[in-house]
Amino acid sequence: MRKLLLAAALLAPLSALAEIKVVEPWIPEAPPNAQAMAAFMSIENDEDRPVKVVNAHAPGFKVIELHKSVEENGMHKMLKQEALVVPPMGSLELRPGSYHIMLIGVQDPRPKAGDVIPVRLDLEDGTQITVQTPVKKRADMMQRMQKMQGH
Amino acid sequence: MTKRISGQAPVAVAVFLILIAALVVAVFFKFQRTNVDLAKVVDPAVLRIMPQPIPVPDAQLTRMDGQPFGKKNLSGKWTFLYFGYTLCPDVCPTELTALAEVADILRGKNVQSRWQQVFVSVDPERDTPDQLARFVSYFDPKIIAATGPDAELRIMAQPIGVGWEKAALPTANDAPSSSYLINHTTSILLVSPDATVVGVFPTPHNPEAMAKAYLAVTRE
Repeated sequence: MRKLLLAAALLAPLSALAEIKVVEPWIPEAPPNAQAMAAFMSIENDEDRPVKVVNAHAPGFKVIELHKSVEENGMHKMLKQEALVVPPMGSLELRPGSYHIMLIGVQDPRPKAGDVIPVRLDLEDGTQITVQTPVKKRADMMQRMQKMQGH
Repeated sequence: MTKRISGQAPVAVAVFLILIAALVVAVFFKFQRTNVDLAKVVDPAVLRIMPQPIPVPDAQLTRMDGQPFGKKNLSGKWTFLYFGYTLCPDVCPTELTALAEVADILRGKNVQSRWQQVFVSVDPERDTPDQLARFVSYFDPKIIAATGPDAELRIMAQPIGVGWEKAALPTANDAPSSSYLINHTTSILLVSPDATVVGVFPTPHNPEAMAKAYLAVTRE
């Protein structure tokens, strides 16, 4: 019985963490004087129900919002999202030109390629997940993504 | 004497007009055929050839080094023309990264002299010459940046299908702020050496494919 309780105690935090898995998080390094940056990642959901990211936090930025970039008649717009919904047994891609975590009001020292920023995702059920997110040169990641698309 | 001249003048005028008309027709057909041919050699998902090329209207803009910038700066070379703003959080850096990569590819193929890349800022309020220079040189040292009064920008951009509008940028506790975003056209325009928009690279921009399409169109 004691063993079982111990096992349950050990499993409890694991099960909360197991809700979602974050793959390949990154933040593109911004050009000089940028007022905002964006965090990208793939969020995977192994549960049989949708998981909602309702908020995000990261040090060094004044405001953080969940956004989606859309293109209407060739015009680019950003739409604020109430939540990022990861479908059951599926994944949500945060990538340039689509969903992203918008990091607004970049503060000094400005993030540079090589830095790692802890981005905290707040789920609807109160779970918080901190994702160590590296800042990378945009060109490096774009080339990588194109290679992946090409195959 | 007077009589002879007046007798020949109408004939000369008529011949002249016929020649002009023939020239116009010839140029028109050459142009039409060229564009049909171009549309055959490139994938429209990479480069959409305009059925009707549009001359870039002249406008009084200023280059990042303080020199005037207008239609004549788009003459004599092929131009990759992009409109955006330097405080653009994601889209412009993505497009300029793609342009810089196109430049690298073309330089690697030794296609050096006949093209240029121009970034026109639609945010003259905040994009000072210094800010423009710092921004474009972050991506590639050769990209030319220019901007100008909103009215001049619209003169150049509207007829070639480029638009933009300001949008509020969120602030903490909805505090008022001078910050704003600009929703804007994301296409990169291909301008021929006679300052005419002949094609549009729609998003998403794949530099390899763009360079290939550019070479297909410009190599005769």
